[in-house]
Amino acid sequence: MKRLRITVEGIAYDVTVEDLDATSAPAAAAPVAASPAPAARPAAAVAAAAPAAAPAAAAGPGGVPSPLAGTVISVAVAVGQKVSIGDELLVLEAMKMNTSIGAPQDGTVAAINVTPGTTVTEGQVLITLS
Amino acid sequence: MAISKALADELEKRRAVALEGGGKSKVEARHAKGRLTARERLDALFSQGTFQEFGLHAQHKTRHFGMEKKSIPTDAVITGTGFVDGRPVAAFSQDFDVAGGSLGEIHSKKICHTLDHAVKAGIPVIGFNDSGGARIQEGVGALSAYGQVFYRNVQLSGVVPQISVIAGPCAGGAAYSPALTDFLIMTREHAQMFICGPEVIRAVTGQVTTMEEIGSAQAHASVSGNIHFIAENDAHAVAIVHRLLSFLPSNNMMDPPHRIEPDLSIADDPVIDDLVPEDSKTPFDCRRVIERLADDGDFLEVMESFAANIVIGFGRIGGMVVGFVSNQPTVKAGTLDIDASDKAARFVRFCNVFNIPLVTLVDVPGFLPGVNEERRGIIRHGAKMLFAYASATVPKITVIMRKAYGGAYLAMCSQDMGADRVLAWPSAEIAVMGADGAVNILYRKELAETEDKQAKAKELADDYRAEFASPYLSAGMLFVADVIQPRETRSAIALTLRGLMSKRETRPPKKHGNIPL
Repeated sequence: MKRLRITVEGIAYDVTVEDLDATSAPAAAAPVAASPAPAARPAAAVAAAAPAAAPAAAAGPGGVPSPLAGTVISVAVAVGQKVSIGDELLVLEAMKMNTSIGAPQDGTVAAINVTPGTTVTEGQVLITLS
Repeated sequence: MAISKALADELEKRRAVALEGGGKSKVEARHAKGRLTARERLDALFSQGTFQEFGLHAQHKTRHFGMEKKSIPTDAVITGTGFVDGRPVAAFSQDFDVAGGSLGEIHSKKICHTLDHAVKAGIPVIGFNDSGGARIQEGVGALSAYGQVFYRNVQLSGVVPQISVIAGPCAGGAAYSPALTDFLIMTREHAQMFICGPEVIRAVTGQVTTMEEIGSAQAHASVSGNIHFIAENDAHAVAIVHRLLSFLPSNNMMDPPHRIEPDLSIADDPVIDDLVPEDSKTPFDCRRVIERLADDGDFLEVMESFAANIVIGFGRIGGMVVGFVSNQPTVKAGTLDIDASDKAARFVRFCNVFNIPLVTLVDVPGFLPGVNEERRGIIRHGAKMLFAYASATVPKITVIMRKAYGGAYLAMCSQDMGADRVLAWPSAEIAVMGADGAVNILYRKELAETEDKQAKAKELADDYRAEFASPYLSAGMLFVADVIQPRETRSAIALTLRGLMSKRETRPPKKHGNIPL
């Protein structure tokens, strides 16, 4: 199993990928007949669900997307820091205004994808919470 | 001498059956979920003892599929009139506990009668929607029955306020009746509204979704923009109806319920001075300003979670009911985008048609740049703002708090859109475009020849801002009536409103304008 992030037109999707050829040999040895079917089904479901789910959960679980295009002015948190809903994560300058980006939920900062000065697009994942 | 006991008893018997609705067990199940019955919703809406029912003894007339043997008390909808705060109001309430609240011809006739009565009497109409949909046994008759309701919703639009409460299922075509009304209130739980449900969507398109994602109050309040208020439960929904009615006239020929005191308070409010950040890039919550301007801080925000970059709602200033429209600098920098334009434009038109003066607070850097915005039609959507304001003939007062740039400045009820009085704070920046962009165009050559481009551009931008974006420049050219301290805003608006109470503005007669939709 491998977790990957795919960015399509500035919108990031977190996906989990399983390499069937490389990993399944020993584990799947016993139920050979059963293993391809369940493996194939989730893959198809992901393909079908992605377009529908995209607008609602653009950044995937924990991803904090940028509400608009702009430049990062400051980052208020560090990786590993615990945050509560509404806490300021970073400040973005866009359209002659500083916009404070708050935590959409309680969590721990898992990744910071930008630094002050980074130009970001709408929907781009700025910070990932876990 | 007295009326025959048998006749009197029969009436009581018939009343008892009809009033029982879906029966005890259904009522208990409903109460266990914290929900009200159709009749209880009307009881909560109207002052006690004022409800006069129409059609208690109604019966369906279906003669197919064994329906002729079935009795449907009230035909699954309770209709009539009553009083709210001493004012007459019409209402209908679909009864899901009776035949699933299904809509057939007689059911529809009762709703239509309520709507017809509302328009004749010139009174608001409230609809509680809780129905499984069309009564299939009645076939195309049921379909036509919906059409009859839709047609009347449109006839009533702009004549009397129409408020819909979605308190249960409201699916398919049924969703279009509330959609045609002025305000939709939806209970957070137990209510769903959609055209095609998750199963149909999946069967036809393969897309996997949930009711929460497409049909819930949350989805409609924040993503689709189909509803205006989320209610925590039935009683809260009625409380919102009462709040709304307290700001609305009974019909388009009346003024809204102003509460005018003979003496107007014209005191300064220094708190507003403190709400304005010194740095023009620091956002502030425009709702704090609105709360200072509104009498007793009483502000009823409409569509709170949809397009939060613009804030709309009702309040009173100096006793006069007003509709507030304000850019919200904390969200998307207060830019106007497609959703914000749609939201504000419809609100402006509602206020205009019901004689509610408009107070517009401006802090807008411009329209939101973006490929999506352009491709989805920000031109025609943004045009709705211009159209709505320019066609509004109610008193229009505009306060430019900070930024007012380009087309967005015009769209926020500039003097050119017919504002009766435009006031600006000393912090106002009014210009055709932002200083940085303007400098890049005006000094393109000079900048190309300069070594330290950034420093030069900044210097030029600062000069531009000071000289060409200054409110005194606009005031000098009479685009702004006066520059005032923030603390003077409330009394300035109150005085202006009072002076505009008898405003008359007539336009050339026409069927209607052609607003870009």
